[in-house]
Amino acid sequence: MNSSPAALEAELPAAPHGAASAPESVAWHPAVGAILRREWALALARPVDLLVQGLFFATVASLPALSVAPTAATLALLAPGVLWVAALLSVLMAGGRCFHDDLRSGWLDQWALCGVPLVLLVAARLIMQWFIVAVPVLLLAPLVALQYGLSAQALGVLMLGLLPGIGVLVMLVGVVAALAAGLRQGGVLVIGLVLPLAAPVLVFGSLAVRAAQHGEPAGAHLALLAAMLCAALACCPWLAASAARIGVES
Amino acid sequence: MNLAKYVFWFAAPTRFVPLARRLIMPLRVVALLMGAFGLYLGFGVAPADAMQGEGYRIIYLHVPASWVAMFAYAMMAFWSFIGLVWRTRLSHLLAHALAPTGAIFAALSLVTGALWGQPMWGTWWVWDARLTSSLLLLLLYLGYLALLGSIDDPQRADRACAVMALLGALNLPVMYFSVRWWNTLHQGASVTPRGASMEPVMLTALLLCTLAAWAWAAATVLQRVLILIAEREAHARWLRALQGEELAAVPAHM
Repeated sequence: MNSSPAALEAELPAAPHGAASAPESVAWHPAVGAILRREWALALARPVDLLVQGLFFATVASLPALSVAPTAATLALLAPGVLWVAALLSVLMAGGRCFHDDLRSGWLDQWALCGVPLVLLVAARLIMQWFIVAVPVLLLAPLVALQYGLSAQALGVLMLGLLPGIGVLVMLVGVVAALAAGLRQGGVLVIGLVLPLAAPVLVFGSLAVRAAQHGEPAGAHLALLAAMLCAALACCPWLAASAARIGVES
Repeated sequence: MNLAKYVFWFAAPTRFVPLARRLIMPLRVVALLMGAFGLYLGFGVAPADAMQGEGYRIIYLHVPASWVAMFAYAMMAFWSFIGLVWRTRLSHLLAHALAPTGAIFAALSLVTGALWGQPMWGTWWVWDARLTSSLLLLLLYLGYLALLGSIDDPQRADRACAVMALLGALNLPVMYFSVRWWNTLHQGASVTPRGASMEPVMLTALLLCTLAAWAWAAATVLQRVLILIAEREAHARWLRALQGEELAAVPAHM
């Protein structure tokens, strides 16, 4: 874990001398690769964190069943929404403070100074985080689906939807987390700001699962989730990068 | 360069403050006159609705409130974008000033909607797409205000809130798209670009009320911008000079 930031430091190009020097004079592949490797190394260095995230997802998804009479019909009604809300909360838990420590430790300042466009670095980080957050959720989703009696087809649609859906959520949480980095009540703020923004993902994600439960085609909803992912990938890294820059500069 | 000079003429607070002071009173007068006339037309002259009877008349409050709430968010996102790109501080102040007004109109829209829904649908709240997206709009406003309140450094607050407003604006079309996606309990829009499905007198009253709400919101926003400028530029000599003029002009009140 200690080795990866040091390795990155060695690979990062030196900060340009002039403040306004052209960014294309600096090769960005090594920096982006180093960030991907750092995130991966950090995730592997703390496997307990991944375990806790998976446990959190499974627990949050199990609790609503305790609040109703667990008949098959009720569980089938609850399942899509509950699974998606649990996924949203997992993303929030994993990524809600993701730029906070980086700002505190000066890591973000290094990013801003290294001459590589900040957008690329932020995008690389968020994409890596997408996969790291998605893995525990996708691994445990079949287990929760068993609890709620989801059919194999509905489970397949759920997993297909979760992959782009978690991507959108990670992007949204990334922007808001970059905005709230360094603030005192940042954690609560991130939750409050993200929840309304996450609504469309939850709506279309659970609509897809519901359609699959009734044996209807879910392709349209999945396509919409994928379209939202494309839009999020196109917009959110820019917003997150400018949010990170605001945090660095002030 | 010349074009930028004209576009951003009023971006300087020294020029904006006198303009805003000159605009606030006329906007208030317009709001009161149009509001009074519109409400008179709506509640006194317009006929009762064939289906909904007298109960429909809350439309004259509900629809203007919803429109202003949505329009205010669009303006907030617009000024946030301008402020982020051109670093004009006044744009950020306009966005900050729009947020509370937009939040109040969004809340008003939800409350009048609930009061309308109770007699017509038999329930205060339904999980209809349009209601839900109004609620989400209100939550976006509240989130913006929460972010604004939790950042102490004004420069950072300006730009962070601008990013948040843009993120919300990018998401809003998706939220409103959901209106068409479901079959909903909410009646279809009465006024569309192609025409209106209502009596001319009803439409006139509705438009008058909308203009009144818009003018009132504009006056409130300008007033709030003046207060924000006064807070931030309390040390500035030009502002004190302007305030001094004002105090000298109305000695009777002091």
